[in-house]
Amino acid sequence: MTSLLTCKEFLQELTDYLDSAVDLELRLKLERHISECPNCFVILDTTQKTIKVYKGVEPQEIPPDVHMRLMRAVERKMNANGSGGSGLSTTIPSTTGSNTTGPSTTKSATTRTVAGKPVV
Amino acid sequence: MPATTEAGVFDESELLAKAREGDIAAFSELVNRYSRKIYRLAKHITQNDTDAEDVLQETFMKSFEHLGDFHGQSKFYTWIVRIAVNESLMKLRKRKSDRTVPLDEPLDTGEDTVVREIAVWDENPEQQYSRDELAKILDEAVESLKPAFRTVFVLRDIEELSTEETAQALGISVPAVKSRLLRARLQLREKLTRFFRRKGDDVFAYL
Repeated sequence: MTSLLTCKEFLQELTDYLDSAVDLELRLKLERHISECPNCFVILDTTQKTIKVYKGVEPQEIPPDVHMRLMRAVERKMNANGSGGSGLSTTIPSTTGSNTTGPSTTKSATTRTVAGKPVV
Repeated sequence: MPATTEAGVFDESELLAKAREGDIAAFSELVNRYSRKIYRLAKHITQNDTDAEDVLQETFMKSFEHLGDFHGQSKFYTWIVRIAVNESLMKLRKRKSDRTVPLDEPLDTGEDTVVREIAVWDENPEQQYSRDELAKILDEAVESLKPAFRTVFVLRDIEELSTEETAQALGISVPAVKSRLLRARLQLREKLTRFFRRKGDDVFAYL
């Protein structure tokens, strides 16, 4: 139970260790390894920082024209389904502005065929 | 960007209930809550603005269409992520010119966890860069990964799905998720070391 892990064994367990998905015995072995192996300590530390730096990034705003086309498509879709709910006027930008800057991917959402049903 | 609506005061289950009844404002609030993340996810996987926009629209169209089938066993966000992943993967597969490794190709040989670059990083390396610079560095690093690794990393470490949710969304096993995530993390760590290493600390590169 006190056998030392090799660096390769340490790396194989790195993701589970970072995700706190190892049992106590293995965790102690891994921590013993990094206390004695400077390279693996650096790999652990920099991998932790890699994850942290990605987790800290907020998604950027969607380009306004992309957002506008999305909300138009949603509105069309809901209206086509006979929605009787309150309107969109307070939630989407005006649809009367320029719509020429982005990719021409505005959907004919009301006629699109749905290919598959997501599993819930 | 969209203003907060009166629907913003409702929690998600109330919004979902109203959206199921056809309340456009309620569904729009759900769209506004998650559209940025879905767009980012789609861009990361497809690496193409037009495809990402298609995925964004399809995701919310389909989620609206199937809202009656969603009974809250998972979070709404997890549910729409799965739709977005499916749509994004279809885009990738349709792209005839795509010469990258297909998602279902066996990759888990364990041979690509070789670590070449070992150097200490600054304590808060991201602070050396402006927000835009950092976003560019991080995006380019992710985009350089093979699709099979990139997709797992995006779901696990950016969108913060669990291992099981990621496995379900991609239709692969839990061990495959773990294996690909390890490789993705190690490869990204290596790519980012170029930018984030502590200056003058090469003596810590032991190999």
